[in-house]
Amino acid sequence: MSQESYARRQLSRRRFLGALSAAGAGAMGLGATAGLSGCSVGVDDGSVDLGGRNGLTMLNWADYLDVGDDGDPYYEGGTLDQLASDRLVRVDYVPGYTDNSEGFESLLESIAVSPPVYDIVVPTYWRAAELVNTSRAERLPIELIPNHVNIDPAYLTNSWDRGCRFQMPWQAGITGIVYDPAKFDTEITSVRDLFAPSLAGRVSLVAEMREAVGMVMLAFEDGDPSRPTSQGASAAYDRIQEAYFSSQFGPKINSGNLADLLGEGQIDAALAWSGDVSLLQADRPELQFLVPEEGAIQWFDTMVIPAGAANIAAAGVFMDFVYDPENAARITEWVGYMSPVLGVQEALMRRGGDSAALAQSPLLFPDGETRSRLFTWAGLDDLTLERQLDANYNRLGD
Amino acid sequence: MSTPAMLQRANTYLLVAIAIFAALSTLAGVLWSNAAQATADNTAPALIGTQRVYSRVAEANAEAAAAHLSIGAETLQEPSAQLSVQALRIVDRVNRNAYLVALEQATVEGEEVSASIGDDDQAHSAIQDVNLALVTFTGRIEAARALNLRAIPDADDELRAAIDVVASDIDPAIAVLNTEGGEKLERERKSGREVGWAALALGIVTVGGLLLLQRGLARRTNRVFNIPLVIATVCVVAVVALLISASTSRSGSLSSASAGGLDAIVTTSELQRSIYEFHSDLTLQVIDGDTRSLAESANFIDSGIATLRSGADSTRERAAADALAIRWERYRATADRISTSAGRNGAGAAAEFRDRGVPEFTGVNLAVESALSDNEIQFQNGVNAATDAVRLVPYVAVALLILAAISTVIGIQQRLGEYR
Repeated sequence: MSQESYARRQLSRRRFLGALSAAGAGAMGLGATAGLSGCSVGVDDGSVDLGGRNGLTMLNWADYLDVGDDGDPYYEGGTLDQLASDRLVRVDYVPGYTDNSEGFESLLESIAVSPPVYDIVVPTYWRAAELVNTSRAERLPIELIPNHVNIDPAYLTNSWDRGCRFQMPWQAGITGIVYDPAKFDTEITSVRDLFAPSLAGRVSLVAEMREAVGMVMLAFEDGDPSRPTSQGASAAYDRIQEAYFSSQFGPKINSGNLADLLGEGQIDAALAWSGDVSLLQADRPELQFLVPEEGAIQWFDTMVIPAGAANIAAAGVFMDFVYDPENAARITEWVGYMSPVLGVQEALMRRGGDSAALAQSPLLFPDGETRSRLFTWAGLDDLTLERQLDANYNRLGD
Repeated sequence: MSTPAMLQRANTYLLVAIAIFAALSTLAGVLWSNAAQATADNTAPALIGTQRVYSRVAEANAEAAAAHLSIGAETLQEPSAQLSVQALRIVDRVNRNAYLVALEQATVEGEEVSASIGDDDQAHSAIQDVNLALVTFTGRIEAARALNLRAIPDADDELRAAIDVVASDIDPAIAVLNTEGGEKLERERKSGREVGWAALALGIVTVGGLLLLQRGLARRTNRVFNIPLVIATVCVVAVVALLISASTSRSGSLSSASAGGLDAIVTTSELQRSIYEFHSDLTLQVIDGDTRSLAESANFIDSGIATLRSGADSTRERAAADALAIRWERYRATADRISTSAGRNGAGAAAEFRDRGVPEFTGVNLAVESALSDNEIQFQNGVNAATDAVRLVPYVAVALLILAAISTVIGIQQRLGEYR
């Protein structure tokens, strides 16, 4: 991405998120922002003795950390630069995690060696659960992470890691519908609309099975993705498969192809991730992001220290640093996703200007009514079925 | 009596002593090992599981209350009509799902406690009481929900009754489980003590006998060392030392597990109960719309947290206690606001309770659970160390004492041979 693109993206994120807050209930059916926030604890820079191991390697998704105008994550005043100067920890940052299928397989290979290649990895929560449940995640050095108390309580109750003792959420997002209103005669309000025969070939689904199936469960099966049943998931998958066989959908959407598919006009609407949609505003400000009337899927990516990592203490210091609300706010401003850190909204408001406008964004700080319409896929009891659906879904559209 | 006759008699006495010493050592080792294993397999998991049951029940209760309050009159389009499945799914879904998950986890943990208890009738009775109370609790919650959806005022009474079930039925049963578990741990810690002392005493007597024999032989033969008898003596001394070491190590590990782990678990679980009772009081305030000071309960919790912090004996435990203190302060501040507004702005208090109070209580509850988890690890480590300390005692004791017996026979036969 060119320097100009990075600079434009910064503006586009703010404009997109600010526009959403101005539109309010229009495109998203959202009410006034009254998100959960709480007082938070910033941590005085403690002199943590890392025994000389003050470097770490981190694998993350692309576009998931603030960068300078030239795309450099180590730019002056950025998160990594501040971490180096405040906490004396250097991060070898690798924005190379591509997806939770092949990308996760590569991740597993990289952490199977001793010591693991990475000290922090950031898979999506259900993959993180797999790491925790198979003892491939290190216990967090809580004593080095005082800002652990700033984790939003909503993330503490996962059955696979109650209290977040093995992982700390990085960012959360919403899978909703992105579309160009100019290309449609009627307003799109539901995932059901994406199945209309008149839209055959002009719409796409997101690459993650759990999100696609979950959305279809909401729209057609009256199901609850936060307590999915095998029957409901199978019925939703069958509907998707049938639609693919009748050429209803185009290529699946991932982080890398959304801009191309929409930009080239191959598709006019898709399931997509909230933060990624904001990237497109630089070139396509007319695009709308919608939380469907039946609800949407919420997910989160989360930081895990692979078991046997060489720099656990440094990893803990990094986690503590990014959970300081001021640092978390900087990241949120850039990536445009929901922060799991308490106090970020207040930090943005304190900054004033565009930052304060972001603090009012219902996309970043959904109110109670919106949150009640967000569902997090909780996993099927039948793990074999879930893996099978995953494999089958990945083959659809090939 | 002739010297050969005395040697034969000494041979017999020493072999009998070694045999009995071997039997007692083995028995002591087996008793200690079995007791340590019972602690590791049954007592410890039951104690730890008991705290988890309570934590899940507290969470289920909190979420059920939040779900209850989310179905207010203003959300009911037609108060007399049942909400559609779609609307119902939306209105209280988040809290309802959290309640269902917590309830399931409480039930599963209860079953695991049942499986861990072993043959303690009183503990079995207590966990059955918990399971029965959970059924009653669930019934009350469902009744409250059904009435609430129809905007029938009795709904609040059902919710109050559900909260009472926890206080009147589950609380006492948990206390019984904790008491029984603590007593069982103490019994297991003392298990094999008398046999151990007897073995030790006999071991010392046997060493004394061997030394006396060697002294006597040295005077008669002017040979200081009878090598086989020296070997026999070393073996018996080694077994005595092994018994002392294993016993001390086991006792020390269990004491450490008890003091550093179990006591901390009990203290933390009492704190958890206090915090839950505070939240229950707040819930009732919001439902009843009255203003009542919760300062006394809050101050009690403050001192409990301070005790936890001062008792922390590792940086990790201190960090967990600090985190608990911070989350508690946040929740307390929210609770104070809700409490003071409950009387004059019921709807606002209910909304803040649901949107902030319950999540922050969840944060506190899980912070307590995290502190408990660290204590549990310390407890488990102590128990495992006790098990490891005694595992090999029976085998090593028998092997060494067989060698001692053989060496004794050889040593005495050597001397007897000189008379032939």
